[in-house]
Amino acid sequence: MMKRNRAFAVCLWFIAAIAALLATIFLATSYGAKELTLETVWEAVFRYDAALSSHQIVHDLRFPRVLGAAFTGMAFAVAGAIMQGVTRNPMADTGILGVNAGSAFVVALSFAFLPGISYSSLMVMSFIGAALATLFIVMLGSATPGGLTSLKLTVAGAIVAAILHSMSTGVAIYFELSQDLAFWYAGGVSGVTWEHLRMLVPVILITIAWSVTMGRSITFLSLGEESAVNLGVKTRRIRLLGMTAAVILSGASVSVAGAIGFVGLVVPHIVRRLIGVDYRLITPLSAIFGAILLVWADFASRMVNPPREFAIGAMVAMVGVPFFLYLARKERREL
Amino acid sequence: MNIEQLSRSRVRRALIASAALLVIAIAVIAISLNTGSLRLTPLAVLRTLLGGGSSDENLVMFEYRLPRIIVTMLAGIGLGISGAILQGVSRNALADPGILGINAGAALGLMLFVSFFRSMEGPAALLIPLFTFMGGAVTAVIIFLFAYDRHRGIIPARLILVGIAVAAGISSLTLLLSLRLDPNIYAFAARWLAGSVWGREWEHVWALLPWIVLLVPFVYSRSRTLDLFAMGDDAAASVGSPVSRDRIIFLSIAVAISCASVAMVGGIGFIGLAAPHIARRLAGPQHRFFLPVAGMVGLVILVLADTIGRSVFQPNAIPAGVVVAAIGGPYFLYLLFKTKT
Amino acid sequence: MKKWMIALMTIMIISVLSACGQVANTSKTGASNTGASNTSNTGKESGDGKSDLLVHSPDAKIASMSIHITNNLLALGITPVGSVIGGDVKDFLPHVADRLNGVAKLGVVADPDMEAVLGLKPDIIYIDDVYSGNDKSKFEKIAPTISIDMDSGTWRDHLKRIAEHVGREQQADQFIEHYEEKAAQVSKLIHNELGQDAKVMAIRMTAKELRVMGTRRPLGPIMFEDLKLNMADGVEKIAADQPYEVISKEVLPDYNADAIFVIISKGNEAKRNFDEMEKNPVWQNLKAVKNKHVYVLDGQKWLDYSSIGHDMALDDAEKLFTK
Repeated sequence: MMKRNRAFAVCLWFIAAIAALLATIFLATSYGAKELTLETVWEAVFRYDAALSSHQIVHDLRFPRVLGAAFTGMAFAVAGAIMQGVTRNPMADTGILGVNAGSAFVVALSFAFLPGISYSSLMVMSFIGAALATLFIVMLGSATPGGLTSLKLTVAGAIVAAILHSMSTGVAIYFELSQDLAFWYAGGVSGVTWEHLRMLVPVILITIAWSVTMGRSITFLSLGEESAVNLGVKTRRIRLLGMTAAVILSGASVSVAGAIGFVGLVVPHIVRRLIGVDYRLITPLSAIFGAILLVWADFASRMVNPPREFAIGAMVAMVGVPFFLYLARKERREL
Repeated sequence: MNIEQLSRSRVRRALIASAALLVIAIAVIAISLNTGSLRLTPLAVLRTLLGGGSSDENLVMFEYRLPRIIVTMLAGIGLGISGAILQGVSRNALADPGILGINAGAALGLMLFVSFFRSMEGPAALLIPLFTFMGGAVTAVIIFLFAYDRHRGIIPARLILVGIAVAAGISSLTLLLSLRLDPNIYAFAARWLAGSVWGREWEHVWALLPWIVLLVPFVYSRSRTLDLFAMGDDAAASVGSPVSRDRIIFLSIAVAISCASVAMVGGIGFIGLAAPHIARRLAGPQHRFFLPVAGMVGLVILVLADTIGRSVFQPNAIPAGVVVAAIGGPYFLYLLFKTKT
Repeated sequence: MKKWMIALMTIMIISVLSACGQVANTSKTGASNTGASNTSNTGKESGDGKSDLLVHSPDAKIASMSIHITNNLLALGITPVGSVIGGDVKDFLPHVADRLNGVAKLGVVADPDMEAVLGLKPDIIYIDDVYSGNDKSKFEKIAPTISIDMDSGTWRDHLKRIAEHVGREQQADQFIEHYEEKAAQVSKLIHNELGQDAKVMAIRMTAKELRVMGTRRPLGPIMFEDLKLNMADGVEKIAADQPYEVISKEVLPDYNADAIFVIISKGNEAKRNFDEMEKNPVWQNLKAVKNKHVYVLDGQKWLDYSSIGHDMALDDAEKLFTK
């Protein structure tokens, strides 16, 4: 009886989340810097007429941007969920751990030194950056006696991010790149095009699907290393695969949207609170919630003071920082 | 080896380390005094310092180079010591004023100044330190408030987490403001943020000096209290140390010293992190020996980094903070690895 | 412990307060000083002429601590021996770099290399009151220093102010006269090409933003006053104290411009952004784009708000519109 209730609740949450996502996308596509009637907007999406300038605005500027926000939000949130699962660490997030900073750094460097780089190679560079930063942190963790506590992991991430940031400032000053890099760190989805989406969406969806299949093992791992081993989970392997998935997801998103933090921190916590500890469910629901959060953040960034636009990273930080503070206060177990 | 022998060998080690560091510091300062776009022979430098220079040489030495080096030295000491205090009080080897959000707060102070108050009456030479100091101090207070628990005082681990969170939030505000600056101002702000040893005047020396001269000896005189923190709250309380109150006092001092230092040299991280680690390896964990060594290490690192940044990378001088991060960051990671094996 | 703390805090507070007191004092004396010199200046003009104005020979060795002063000096036919460099390009501005061969680089305006200035042994130093006004005394230890207000007034005023000091007022007037003639001529050229009532806008593409340039300097005055071009719809709404406004690409069609002037910021990313925008159907559908009235400007010349920058901007426009 309990179990059926539970399943029912989960079902309900999924339906509600999907409905909310659709509503959010609908809203964010309907309103923008240029005022258009709802009818025009949805005609542009479903019966696109290339001759009309209003259709073009929706089809080539607004809709790709909303989708871009949705998919990068998914990716950041799932990456955060996996990281939190495999490290058994509530503070893990690709933004806080410096993984996003790692890929932003490499992306910015490739802009500076490899002019005319294609989008697909840019994405690869972004993966490399994310992977290097992750490797750094994992090594740092394995070198610390007693393994990684939340605190150590967070601080190690902050150090790695600080080093990367400082290095990129140095590179920027020495090679005279000035404000370009700052723009990249601020993040934003205004430049997303269909061409980007064609590359980005398959990568993200496949990786998320793959993560869901790892869900069972991650759940056991997140409940405790020993019991996971007893249940036949190859912890080392799952950790490695999980980290790889997180790296791919954050690398892919950073390559279009820049370093946006906090999504991966906030979303999985909310989701866990709602539907419990099963990562087979946490992962997909995190994806939906992440998409909602980032679409809203982007929507807010362009609607606060239209037609001007704010940095999306700052918008997310406005939600993320208070949440982080709340977590830091709540984390009593190890304090 | 009995306890007396042990402590004697500790004293000897600390003395040797201090002497060696002093020699290195003097050498680094000498090199730094000889660095600049105007060529002066070492002999001319010496002559000028002793009072026998030409008017131009006097100008270069006493107006341009000396104040900058003194500011660098003081800030290096300040950052090293405040890092040592923070690590002692929080019992966390990864604590650092930069990670605690002080650099982020100071940076926001600078951004607010250049974005909104640039036309304010008064000399920029003192207004910028005022704004950055306030930024750092206000941030620290915010972090303290969030990390404060009614029953247990300031909880060290929470302090660091809260620090990181607040720093992240403040940095995103700073970034937001920095995108709106015109390129000239941005270039200045970026260099400041990267730690370019911005304070170069005697006024800056006088503004920084009292903090170091008054607070550092005070901390040193209380070094036993710092030793007690290392034992853990309960143990420290059991020998009669008022843990919560002392912690707040020491934290405030660490914040004051590092805010004053950062206000003069710009956003420099890692010194507060790395200097205490190096010092601990040289002089052992007792604060009596290890505090002065941490200050000296901080001094050497910062002066060296500033000199390297100015001389090696001509004509685009690299800010000292970047040099510190580029060398200090990896070295610090290496230190962490080595402690395990 | 407590007493210690109280004593310490008192000392700290006193030292902070006294530092603040000093700030207030110096600022006050600074203000009264400038006030005094102002009144003495005006007194002079009514009385015994300009005897107090620091005038020097055009051949004097000049160190210029502002890129815009440097450019105005160049317009008067004077090459300084040393000049600061642009903070953005980390060099002399590219459009005047060939005229500054062999001139010493003195750092960027916000962070000048004092030792290099001293090493030059200049006869006279020019500083920009806005950026370096507070440091005047530092420069005066090296050589007599002239502080020019580069904020109030137009570039014509700046040029004249500088000309007074080097004794080349006549050249300044000639330069301006020549400029006005050229502007009238180029204006006619543009209007012939675009039509009398054509409305134009200027946009700037940076690494992450699209900006519409407003009526303020650097671009507003030359576009809408000197060249007498009509503003596209909405340009006049950009706040008068902002040089530009960041916009969303969605509203580009709303400006309904007949011609678009484009400045692409330095750096690969800005260029890439513009290339990307050119591919976008919304851009391709703009009236100006369809009629092939998009003109990519040589940005440095147009953004340099100085006599020589504006003069070269006119040449750039002339080149674009003569085929």
